[in-house]
Amino acid sequence: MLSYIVRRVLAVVPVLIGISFLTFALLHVIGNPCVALLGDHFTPDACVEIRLRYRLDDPLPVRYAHFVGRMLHGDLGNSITTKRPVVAELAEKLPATFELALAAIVLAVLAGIPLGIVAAARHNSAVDVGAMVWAMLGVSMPVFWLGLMLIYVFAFQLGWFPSLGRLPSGLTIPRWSGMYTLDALRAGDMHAFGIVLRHLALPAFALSTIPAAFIARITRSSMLEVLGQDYIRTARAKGVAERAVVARHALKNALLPLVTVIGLQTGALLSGAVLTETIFAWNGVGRWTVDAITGSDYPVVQAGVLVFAVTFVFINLIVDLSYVWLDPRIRYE
Amino acid sequence: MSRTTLRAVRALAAGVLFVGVAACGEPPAPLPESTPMTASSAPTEGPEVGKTPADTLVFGHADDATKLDPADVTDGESLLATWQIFEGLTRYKAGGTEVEPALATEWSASDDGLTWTFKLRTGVKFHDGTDFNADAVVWNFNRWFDPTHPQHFADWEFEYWKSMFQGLKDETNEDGTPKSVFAGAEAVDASTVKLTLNRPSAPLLQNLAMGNFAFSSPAAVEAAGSAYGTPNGSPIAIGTGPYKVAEWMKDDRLLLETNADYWGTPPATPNLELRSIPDNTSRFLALQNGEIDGMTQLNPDNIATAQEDTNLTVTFEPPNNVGYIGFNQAKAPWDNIDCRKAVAQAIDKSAIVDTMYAGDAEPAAQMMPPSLWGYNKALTDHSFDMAGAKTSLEACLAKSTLPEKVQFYVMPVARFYFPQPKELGEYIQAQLQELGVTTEIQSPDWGTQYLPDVRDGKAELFMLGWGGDNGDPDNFLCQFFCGAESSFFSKDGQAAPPDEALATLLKEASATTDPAKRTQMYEQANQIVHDLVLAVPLVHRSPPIVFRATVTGYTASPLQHVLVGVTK
Repeated sequence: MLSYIVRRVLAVVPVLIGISFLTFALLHVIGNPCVALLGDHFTPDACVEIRLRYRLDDPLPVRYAHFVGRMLHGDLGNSITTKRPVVAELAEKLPATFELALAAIVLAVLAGIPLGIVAAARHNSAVDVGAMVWAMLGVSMPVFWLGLMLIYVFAFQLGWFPSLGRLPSGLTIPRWSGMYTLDALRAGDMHAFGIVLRHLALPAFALSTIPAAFIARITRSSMLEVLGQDYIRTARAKGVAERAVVARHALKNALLPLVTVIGLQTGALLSGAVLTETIFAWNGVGRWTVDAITGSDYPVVQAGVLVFAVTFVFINLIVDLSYVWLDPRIRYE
Repeated sequence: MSRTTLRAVRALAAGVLFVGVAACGEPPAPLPESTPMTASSAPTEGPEVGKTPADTLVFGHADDATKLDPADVTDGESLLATWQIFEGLTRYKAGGTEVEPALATEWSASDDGLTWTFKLRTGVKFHDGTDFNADAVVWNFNRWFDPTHPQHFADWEFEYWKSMFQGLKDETNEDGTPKSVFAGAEAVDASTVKLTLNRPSAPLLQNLAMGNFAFSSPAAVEAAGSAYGTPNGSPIAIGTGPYKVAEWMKDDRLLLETNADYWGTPPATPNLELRSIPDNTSRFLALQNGEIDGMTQLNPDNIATAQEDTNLTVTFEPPNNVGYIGFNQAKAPWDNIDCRKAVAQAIDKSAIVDTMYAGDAEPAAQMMPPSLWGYNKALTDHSFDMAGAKTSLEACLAKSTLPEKVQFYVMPVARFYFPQPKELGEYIQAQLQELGVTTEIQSPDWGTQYLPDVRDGKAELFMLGWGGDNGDPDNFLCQFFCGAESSFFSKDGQAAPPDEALATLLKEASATTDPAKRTQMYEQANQIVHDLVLAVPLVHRSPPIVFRATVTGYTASPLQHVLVGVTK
């Protein structure tokens, strides 16, 4: 078991190095930061100054070495657009993305797993077909379209939810973690907590539909495979109630591939949050990164991509390490 | 019930509870009218969904300010914020481009135009309580102009200073003359400032009215250091304006509150909140829903919807831009006026405006918008006339040879004046084909090639545009035709004026301080541009600004969004 854990942790290191170098190298051979920064006020003289100031003419390996050295000291450079430290801006925006992604994955799991179980338990029934049609729709709907539809119906027409932002005008919550749900709870303000949840509801729902659909489908497939096993047939033959067969004997064994999918979907949510954050004016890392890409703000793009990639890597690591608990065959290796 | 089933039921119940708390709870009570908004205050009750606080004008825009130091910003979103917080020596009259007193009450120029004396308004204080006086003015000018000034921070651009005043201290041209128009500032007494120039510059007053040359408190900038103007700054931003910064949640919202010590008319609405909402459709839905009170950058598709909505008021700001087709006269046959005239007569501007814009544009007859003084109201544009164009082309071909395929640069990116550049380029290509001119469209990457190619003279015809900075005709016409950056006569990277007499007239106009004479000179310049067909101006576009119908008091302007007089 220990060798498995050590191997998995060590395997992360070269992956992180590869990600950082690829990100760095790709961004520095495409685009012209001079014209991006100066726009219609571009002049060759101004461009020379920009290239000197941001060391854009140093060789790539030299620039990468500087980048890695600074990164290990917690310095990801300054945003070209705002001149502020990238780390400071990242610290402001990361909690918003985590809060949204966490809410979305919770909704996705709460909706997807039961739906998948019911679909598998009632295989080939109308419930099964209905569930899978819903799952297909969930995977197919573009998030930005769904977001606008949710705003139009639930905010504009029905007025049940606000359409944008994390907080309404006139409300501030003392910042502690940056995740307003936690900050409101810490301040003991349940009223503010309710308001924050209302602002979180529509974007979280929009963001959860695709992972919920994936989770439902994988749950169904996994459950069907497990329900076809000999020991399940034995349990049924012994007269065990179908509900107990599904919940007690089948579900835990079906969870292993599901944990992988949930982990991958959580990582995908962080990158998929870009469109949702834009539609709902959610001040997170996704929107920040997209703005940086269009503005050729290289330090911010690097930081955004690194955050997504590193989060993905560590989520996968957590998933792999969770197998130690879930799969006895690994525990006793 | 088994343990597993119980766990599943509990999880489901938690999910239902989550949705229930979010959706089924009573809406929170509306904010009391006088609730202060500070980060340090205890959480307050929020407003109803779809309602903004009664004492706060909530204005939605596409992007947050990059910085709240007007000296170091170039984007409209930052200036939207700084217009409310800072003031300069002069300002633009409401709704127009003419200049009126602001922190200076009167001014005079020496006969040679090299010395300007400004009398300052007395009794004015910055938001931090320090005095606005001549020393503060001189400090600010020195900070912008002198790269050795301690608060001329090394990684800041001061882009607009370099653009409008043409250089920093001690920078020289090849002949040793100072690059900068500006020579220095001097405090004559506590309320009198003298600005000295290296050469006459008539646009000076227009430049000083720009938001970029508004004054910050020296004490505030010194205290905050290079964090000044950022959310981490302490203080964030200190001006003399009617609003001051209460709180800034970057990329979310900027809260401004009334400056109780303001020297002029206080804001009509006590608080102003600028909300950053990137998606145009989301912003419009929020406006319709009452979550914001006003917005800019309405999608063209939504203009008709907004105009039909009785809860909304749509106002079009006077245009301050021009989109055009340029000719590189260094490449034959575009040095032949008949060839240029043929192209001008072959383009149906009215059809372009009717089909590619949503009622927010007008055909352009001159290379500057009609909102600017100096616009020649007597000038009649080349009208669309395909038969006349073919006659002009025949005259062109009698003396010149058309290439088999004319290199026509079409912008690959949308700009405000050209929201659909690809479609527009193809439309013009079709019209030129009908004329008998075959073009090959080039749309290289905007970021790496388009502008450099056009400036290096690789294009024969090119689409470009310009948005004005200071309401001065010089900012348009000299930019195009004085020669320094001219794409209208560019060969192997060397630029020259397309017409020397016009360039001389424009340079003379920029040095003439008599407003009436300047107006006449620019009217004459516009006539020359038209007669020589140096370019084909296509369109001026007017940005819409939309408010809830209950919001009043906004004055449309080509140059600024001043929200101080807006009430709800």
